[in-house]
Amino acid sequence: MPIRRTEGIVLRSYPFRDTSKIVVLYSPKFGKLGLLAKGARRPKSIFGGSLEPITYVKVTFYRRENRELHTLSQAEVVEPFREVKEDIDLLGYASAACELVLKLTPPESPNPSLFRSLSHVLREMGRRRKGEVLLWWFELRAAEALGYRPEFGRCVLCGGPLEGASFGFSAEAGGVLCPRCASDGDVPLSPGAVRLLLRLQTLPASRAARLSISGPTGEQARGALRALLSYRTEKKELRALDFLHKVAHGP
Amino acid sequence: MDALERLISEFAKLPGIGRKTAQRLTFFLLKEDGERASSLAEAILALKERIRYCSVCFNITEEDPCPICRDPRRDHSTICVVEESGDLMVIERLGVYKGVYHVLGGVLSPLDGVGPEDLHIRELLERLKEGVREVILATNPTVEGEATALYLSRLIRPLGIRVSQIARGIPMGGDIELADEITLTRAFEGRREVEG
Repeated sequence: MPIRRTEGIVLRSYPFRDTSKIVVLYSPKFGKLGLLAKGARRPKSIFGGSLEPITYVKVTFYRRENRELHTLSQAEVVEPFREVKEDIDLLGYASAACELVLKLTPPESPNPSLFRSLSHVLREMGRRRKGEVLLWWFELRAAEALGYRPEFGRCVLCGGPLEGASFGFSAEAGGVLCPRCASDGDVPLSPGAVRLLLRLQTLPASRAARLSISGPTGEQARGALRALLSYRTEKKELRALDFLHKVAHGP
Repeated sequence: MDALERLISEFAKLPGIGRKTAQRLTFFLLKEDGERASSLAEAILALKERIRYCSVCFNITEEDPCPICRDPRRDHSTICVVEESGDLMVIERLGVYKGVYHVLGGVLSPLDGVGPEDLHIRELLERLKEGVREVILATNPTVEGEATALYLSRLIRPLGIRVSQIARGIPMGGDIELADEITLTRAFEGRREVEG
């Protein structure tokens, strides 16, 4: 079993047998990795808190060829994203970003650009204390990194300019549709909502965090992103978004 | 399905038991006398028939309310909040805690979609109306456990009730040199004055 080293972000971890844990790590070098951390649940485990979800770590593991689960040997915390974990809403949005990567990426298929966007969004969520707008930013970056960047600059069907008072968004078509190409089933978008989505797509996370997403413009953009996500995840809703909804309504 | 295959398949449905172990358990019972098999079957049935959840604290019990909630010698003004009944049992074994408990039935978990309404939080808030002075949060030191503690603390503090949390940090017999950044940070934050 060759020994390998990589950095990565813990997407999730869950108990395995009496004292171990299975960790799903997203790394720039190997993509989504399954790692078995033996004894990680024991109080004196050398892994300590390093294998908790939403933690940037450096790991050493034994790679087992043609296996889905490799054996973790060491883990060292690089960035704990503590601010994110100390705010229940930020935790929900950060978890949604991790869940997106869990659901949209195949095992062991590296995508350094997606990794960079994930680490960036988690860092910025903590720094700027903004959750939803940065999750939207990440959804668009993830779409680009995974090869289905939606088009917001012109009509995705006819290629014409976006002129008029109302447009449509079709996840299946892959972007915004001009009034002539839009149909009833599309998500309605105002010119303001298209501009907001375009800015989210092009601005760095630090500047995207300052964008206002309240009011009807934000609601329409939210609808378009929800449609995109639903289409790409085959209508599997993100559990973290359900969690945020439940937290907002209280016990 | 014959009796042998049926038992193997039932054992294999249990957590941590694969088909080979299920087969070994089945053949073990086959070789034993009938009394052992009857005793096992009775124990399983009794578990399902007699065990229920305490209507006050949600601990597992044979009598409702559970013996802890009924005990007048316990301090009913202090509630220790735990994730599962198993945690309660471990704390009870220590014999150092004399208050009562509240079992949440899990933790808030974004990735599993578990929110406040899925836990016994509303019932905890109801109990707090009955002269409770302190709530001790004894959730696990995981992201989910900490988020649950944080959430409960924000709900309970405005009620004027003291909220404390069991200590986090270096385990007894552990080594600072081997501790990770997260654990060590929590240990420093949770430091306390040395008496003596």
